[in-house]
Amino acid sequence: MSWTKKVLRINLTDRTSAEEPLNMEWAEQYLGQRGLATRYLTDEVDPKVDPLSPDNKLYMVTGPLTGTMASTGGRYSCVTKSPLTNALACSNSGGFFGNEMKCAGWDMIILEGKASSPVYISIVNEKCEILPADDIWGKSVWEADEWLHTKHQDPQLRIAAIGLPGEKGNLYSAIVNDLHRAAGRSGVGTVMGSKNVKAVTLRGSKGVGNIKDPKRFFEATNKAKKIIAENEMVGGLSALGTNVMMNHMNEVGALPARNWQDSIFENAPKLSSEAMAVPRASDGKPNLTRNAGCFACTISCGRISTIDPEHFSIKNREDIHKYFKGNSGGNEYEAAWALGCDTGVDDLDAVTYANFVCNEQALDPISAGATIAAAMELFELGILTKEDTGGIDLRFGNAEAMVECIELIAKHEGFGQQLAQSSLRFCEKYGRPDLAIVVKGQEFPAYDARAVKGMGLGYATSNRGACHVRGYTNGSETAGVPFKTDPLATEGKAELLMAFQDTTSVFDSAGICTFSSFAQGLEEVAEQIDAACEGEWTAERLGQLGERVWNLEREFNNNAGFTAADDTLPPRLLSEPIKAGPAKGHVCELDKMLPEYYEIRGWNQDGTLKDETKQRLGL
Amino acid sequence: MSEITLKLFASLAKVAPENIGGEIKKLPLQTGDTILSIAERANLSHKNLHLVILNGIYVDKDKRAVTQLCDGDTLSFWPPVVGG
Repeated sequence: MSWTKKVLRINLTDRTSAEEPLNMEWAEQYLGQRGLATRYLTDEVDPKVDPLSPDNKLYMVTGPLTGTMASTGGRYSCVTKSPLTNALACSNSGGFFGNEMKCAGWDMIILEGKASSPVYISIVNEKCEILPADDIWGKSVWEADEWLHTKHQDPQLRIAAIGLPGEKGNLYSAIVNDLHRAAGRSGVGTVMGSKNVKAVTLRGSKGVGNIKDPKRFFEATNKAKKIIAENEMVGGLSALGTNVMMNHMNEVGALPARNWQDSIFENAPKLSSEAMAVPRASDGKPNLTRNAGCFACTISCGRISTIDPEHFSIKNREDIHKYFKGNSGGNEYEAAWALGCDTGVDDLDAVTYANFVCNEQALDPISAGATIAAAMELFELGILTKEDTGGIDLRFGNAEAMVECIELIAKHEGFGQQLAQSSLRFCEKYGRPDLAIVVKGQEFPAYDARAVKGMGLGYATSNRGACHVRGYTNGSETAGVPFKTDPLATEGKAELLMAFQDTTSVFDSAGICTFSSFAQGLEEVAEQIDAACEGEWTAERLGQLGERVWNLEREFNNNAGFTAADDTLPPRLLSEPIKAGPAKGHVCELDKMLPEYYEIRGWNQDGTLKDETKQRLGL
Repeated sequence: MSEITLKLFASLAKVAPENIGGEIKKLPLQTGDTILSIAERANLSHKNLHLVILNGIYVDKDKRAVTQLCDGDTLSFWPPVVGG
């Protein structure tokens, strides 16, 4: 139980939809959300498919705990083949879209084929309609959201939509739900746009009442909530948000700056959570308005913020959406880092504005910021000129230039069309692919792998390209969670990373937020799933399930053409030593970690799965 | 007179414009001062000493009582923090 056991399959080509039973054999092996949708993908989609062709599919999927009273049980994922990486894409979002899907009676919605003209999908419980989206095609997420709410006259409608960049083929387009929560990475919004789908709207009134043992579930969720509430690290997330890491990573010398030329950003404090809380001179208000929680979340790490009304990005401007002069989501650490530190920009309001643009137009702020940063380095080297940029003085630290770039990306105009192709393709065009800080084509997040070496191994082996939430060893390496390890050591990192990767796979498949894993472990998750779902669920079973999910993703990528040669890092990380700080002189010695990682994963030297590994995991 | 720089971060620092990069204090160094003696003088409870970083390098819990400080050292204290 807990699963609704129903899948809604939507054929956009034929404009038909059909209900089908959830494959329960797969649910027992892969649980839900990330794992379960990957199982469907591997069964239904050719790994070599062109990600933007009608033959690719987009799976919007919940986990068994989504929509329940389990803390953080509001997650859903978008799974597909990525146009950014050509590998598997799996992007996870909170807000209130996932629980609404469950309340409408669906575990998963599958979008296949391609509509002949722009559409949106309206789902109200069992009723699914594929409706014309001509009025909102070309509009932003915020405009589409307003139009859809007005049209349906339902303030409780939950909406996931793409912006204009996703329609135009920007390779790092996200799917934004509830105005500012994003399935952000790997271009899942680009796939949605390629199918001519602008939005999915949901309304569910069924509730999630099919819990196997309600009394035991109540006890198990209460126990987990108590553990989360009493955990001081999680308390820090509530108070300061994810951006609490800004000063921390800078102090330990692992905060990449200026396209990873530096590992300390001298003005990082100006972008920190602490800075967001300081009242400003113009109106006496701080950047931070309040924190925000997703459905059923007892952490509430989200931030809601405002831009200084006197700031150049919004002052005297009538051409921008009203939300720019009000509140929107952010800044999260990753967005503040990519749009700020990585571009050398220390203007908190400029970064907030750029982040709002990413919310408004459904862009991944990590890839957007990192692509601008790579362009800045090319500009400073003289490879890129003002003739190329359309007159933009694209120096590091130039806040106006960063803002101009993000606006051009959002409008998909001029120089923005080049930046929309992502940093790897952009740098390749100018003959310097080495300056794209990517793995498998996806831009890095905010932890310098030369100073936090387990993260380097994690970036290299992540199944969706460079990513921090596939195996957050930084928790252990610099923050001491659950125990402290030496960030500069390579010994033991393969084992540490594998444990993080497999555990995260479970959280991502269960319908709960990986941030709760800072407090609760697989024992607590198993107790909740065992009380909610049929079958017997233990921590041991979940641990193997996480490993199975990881290996299934790997198998898909191998079949898509990836090899061991793709498990690498950009030359800068492997051969340019850090210039200053605690990690001065260090590079990321991937070669010391990767062979051990393959060994304990049960993989061959070419990165393929050994037969006994497949057999052991039932692949 | 010998002194150290003490930096307090996240919830250990008061929110103020001058503290966005951590609350910074100069403390005179007394003979035999260790990390823990400094923490006590700064009225910090041990549970707040999740991360202790001396001149950018993490100091293990079992070394904090015996690590003596030198003139010019920078000592940073963090409560438990995570993000992503």
